[in-house]
Amino acid sequence: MYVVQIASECAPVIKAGGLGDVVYGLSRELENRGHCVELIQPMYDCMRYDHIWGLHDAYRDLGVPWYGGEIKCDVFCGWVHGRVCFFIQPKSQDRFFDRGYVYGGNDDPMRFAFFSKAAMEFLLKSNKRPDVIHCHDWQTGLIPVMLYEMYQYYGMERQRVCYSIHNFRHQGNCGNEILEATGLNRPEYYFHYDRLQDNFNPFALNLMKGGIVYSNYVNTVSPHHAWEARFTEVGYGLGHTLELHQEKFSGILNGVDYNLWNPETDELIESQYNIDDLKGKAKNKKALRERLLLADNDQPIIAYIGRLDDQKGVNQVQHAII
Amino acid sequence: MGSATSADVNSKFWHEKHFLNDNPDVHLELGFNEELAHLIYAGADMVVVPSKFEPCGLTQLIALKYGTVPIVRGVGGLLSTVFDRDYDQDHAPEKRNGYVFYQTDNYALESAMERAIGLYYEYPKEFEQLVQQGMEYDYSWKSAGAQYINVYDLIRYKY
Repeated sequence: MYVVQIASECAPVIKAGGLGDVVYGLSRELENRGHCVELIQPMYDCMRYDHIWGLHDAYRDLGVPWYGGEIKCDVFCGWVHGRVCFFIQPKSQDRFFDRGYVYGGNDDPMRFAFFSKAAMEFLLKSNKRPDVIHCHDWQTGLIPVMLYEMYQYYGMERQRVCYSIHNFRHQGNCGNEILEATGLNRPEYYFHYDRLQDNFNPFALNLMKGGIVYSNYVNTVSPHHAWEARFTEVGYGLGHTLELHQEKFSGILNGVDYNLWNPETDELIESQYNIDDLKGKAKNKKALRERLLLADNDQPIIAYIGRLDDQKGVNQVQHAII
Repeated sequence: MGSATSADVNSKFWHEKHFLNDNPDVHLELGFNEELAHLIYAGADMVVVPSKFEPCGLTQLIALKYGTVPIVRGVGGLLSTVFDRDYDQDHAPEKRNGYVFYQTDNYALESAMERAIGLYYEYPKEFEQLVQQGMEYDYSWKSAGAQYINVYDLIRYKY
């Protein structure tokens, strides 16, 4: 099977959250199973270029239609720890990805709408016809919309889209300038509850909603979160949309990279151990006590590892310490 | 261990750190240290994940692999991966792997921690059993990959 993943992050070159790890981890697993996987990403100036090998030209002066004119892009190709990645670099004074940050501009919907458009244009013009296009989060929510409403008529008829949602909090709300810019036009058509219109603000488009409505399959990152998003407030207003599309919606748990996190092979710990022999774990506990200058006794050690912020329950962390 | 994302949380924890500096039972590590993270997962007995919101969550999955018992709040991916040793209804006792609490108040967290600590002191054999049950779970990309392949095949041949 030939899969192209289009995303705004890929660990370790661009990583702002869990999305990057999923894109990389899933690609490697699919390749281990014998499938062909390619990644498409924006070429940020703030990427970790030291994790990209063999960066070279893949497509010069790709013309991407934008607001009735076009923006020329250079597409580069390189390997990120064995995964083939295409990086799209637009040449315009908007400097969409040359700003020293990944997210946080007030024109983020416009930046990633451009990225989505450029990725589709790259697939079309470089004659790539993947079996499945896998896109992620609101940044690439326009991919299935454009595929269904435009690109299938240019010859991409057999492509199917799987859309993964990692965080419902950010949905990419924007106005109809996105429609004009990408050439979708027809605001009266897209500003409709069944299409891209935001469920609460009738004057806004919701890119994540577009992704849900137009994709062949939608998933979030765990079965219980899929339930929560449909029935509770953590769906941030998309619960009813998910309800309407429930037959193509589910939760698939992310994997952990056991090459990195495995007590049997971990080089960063004091003593390796496995399920049948836990003596090594006791040695690690002793080493941890020495490292952190803790008293040497047989009390249990209870740890917290993670960001200290409200989402992670920071006040309870503080309480647990006491 | 962790890094704060806002200034007030940061200063609160630095204050806490100075206050607990000479305490032999507590260590606060502010900022993220990859190498130390590995040692903590390997050396700790339990890990708390009191998130209010967690689509998937990685901490509890790594902890299970390292035989560190997770004590988690029952939200999102945490509820899909951690099954309470005492109260889970859907899994046989030998399939349970941690402790789950639901409310956001401190008592809920305390009671779950007390249950874990109680087992650790009173029934060390059974605590070790719980550790091993957690390590049996496979949350690698293998199973996730298989599920994504199923989805791809479904949508490729549906039409």
